[in-house]
Amino acid sequence: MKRLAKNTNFQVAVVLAVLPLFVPEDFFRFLCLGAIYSIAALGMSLLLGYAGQISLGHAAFMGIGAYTTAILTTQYNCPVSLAFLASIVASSLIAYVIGKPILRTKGFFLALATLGFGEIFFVFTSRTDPVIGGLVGIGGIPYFSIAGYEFTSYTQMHYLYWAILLGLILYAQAMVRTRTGRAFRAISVDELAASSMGIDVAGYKLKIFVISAAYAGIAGSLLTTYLSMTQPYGFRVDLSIFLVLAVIVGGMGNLWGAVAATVALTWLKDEQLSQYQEYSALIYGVILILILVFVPNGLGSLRGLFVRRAKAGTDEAAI
Amino acid sequence: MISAMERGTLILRVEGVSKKFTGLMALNGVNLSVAPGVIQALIGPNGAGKTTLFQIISGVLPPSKGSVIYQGEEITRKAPHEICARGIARTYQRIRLFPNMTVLENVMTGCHVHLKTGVFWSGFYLPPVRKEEARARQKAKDILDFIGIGDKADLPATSLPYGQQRLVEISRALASEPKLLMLDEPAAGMTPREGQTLAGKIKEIRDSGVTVLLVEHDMGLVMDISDRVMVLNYGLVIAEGAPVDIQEDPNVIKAYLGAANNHA
Repeated sequence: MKRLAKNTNFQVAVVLAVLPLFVPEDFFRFLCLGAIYSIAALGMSLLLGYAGQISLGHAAFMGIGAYTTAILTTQYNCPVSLAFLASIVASSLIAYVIGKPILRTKGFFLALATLGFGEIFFVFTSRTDPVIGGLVGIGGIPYFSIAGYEFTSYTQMHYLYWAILLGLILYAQAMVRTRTGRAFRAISVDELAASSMGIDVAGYKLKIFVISAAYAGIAGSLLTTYLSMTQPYGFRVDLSIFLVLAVIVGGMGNLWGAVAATVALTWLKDEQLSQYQEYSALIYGVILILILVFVPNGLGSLRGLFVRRAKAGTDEAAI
Repeated sequence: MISAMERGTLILRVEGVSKKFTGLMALNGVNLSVAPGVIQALIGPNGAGKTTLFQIISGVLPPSKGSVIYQGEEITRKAPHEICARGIARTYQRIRLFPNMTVLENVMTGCHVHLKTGVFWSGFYLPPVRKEEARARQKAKDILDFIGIGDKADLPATSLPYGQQRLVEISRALASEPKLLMLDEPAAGMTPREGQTLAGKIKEIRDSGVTVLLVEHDMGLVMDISDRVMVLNYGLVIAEGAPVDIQEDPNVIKAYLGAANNHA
């Protein structure tokens, strides 16, 4: 019991579970959005924070998840839960197909290649009028539902999104604790030494790219049912950069740090600065520079000032 | 020349391997045969091509010509991870530990080829995965204890002194349970005392049935522990044989002491 009380997952879950008793429902608007973006940020944290591979096109994978759900529910009358699963499959599949050639590149070139992919997605969705609505997008997407139970209020959605996030963070935490996590961390610092130790570098890169795209696809599908609509402008490069920023602000290789940073940045973006949308790149840039100068290991590293950390690398609760 | 029957029992054969870098013949038709269970040393002056040969055997560099045959199978153009999976592990002259891991995690990474859990399933952390991880952890600890740095297991790997980092690299290579262990200057940066301890460990490793391919500048250590020695100079094999013969070989003396000695 004592061990459980010290577990970050447990602490966060308890706070989020009792929160609806104390704060007005309106407050959950940004917490819901924060949870959704956090899911995509978790995928980015695995890709960038652990495996050291950058993607500036991850918004497109969210978009693929969103559009898959939108098309299937509005045009094919598909149940939302089924469309949700299809979204995961679609984003993973496309990540697999484009990942093979793209991941041969490294660093700046990988950033450029993924950026290009994101732009192609935008151009494709904005020009394809008859099927997916062009720049206007698709509206009238039903609420998320499982076996007839609809999540309609902010409180209900709050529980749904955070439950999914908790499941996905547990999955990620377990993954990085095993052979897989060590392989990712090895690849992120020294591909040659990693391959000499028997790690199939190209294979692992492709797998983590696909998994992080699946996380983005889940986030995209949830986002489109939350907003009840989807449009190309929702998944442009500024969202991709937002995800990268969240991982850096939260701390590379710090999963809860990425979630905390995403929620904070979502609050900043949607609640405080929504009228300054056109300055978002400037604001993100300033935040990025401030973080890199003053807290290079991310805000997640500040946790150590308040909580006694366990031994390096084996702190199971904090990853 | 070795007979066909002997060939079958060799663990490693390097046949006519050449490596050309722009304007430089790093290796020129090198032949090497390694019998299982021996310590085979590879010596020569700086720039003789020893490390290049290591790179080619471990799959880091392709040869310009020639082939590498390991346990009867040609591995010349296989990727490093495929070669490691077949039982060849190596260390690097310039230490390549993973700085973002502890000593223990570095060694556990060496266990990679013997663990089964795939990327997708690792996230579910089911009982078989836990067991496998616990086994890898124990194996890594045992190896560190054997090498003599068990008390450093939880320290960040690159915080150790140079000589101990080499020991971590050797432990990491051992964790892959190699049949052929390639050590590139393992004693560099060690005190004479540490070097002696290491020499004893390398012999123990050989006696456990692992073949050792050794590049080393410390001649005392090489002559002390090696069963066979091959001498390279400017990419050419200039001598091959037992340590005592090598020490008296005029070509070797010439290569090491320079042409000036000839006039004496």
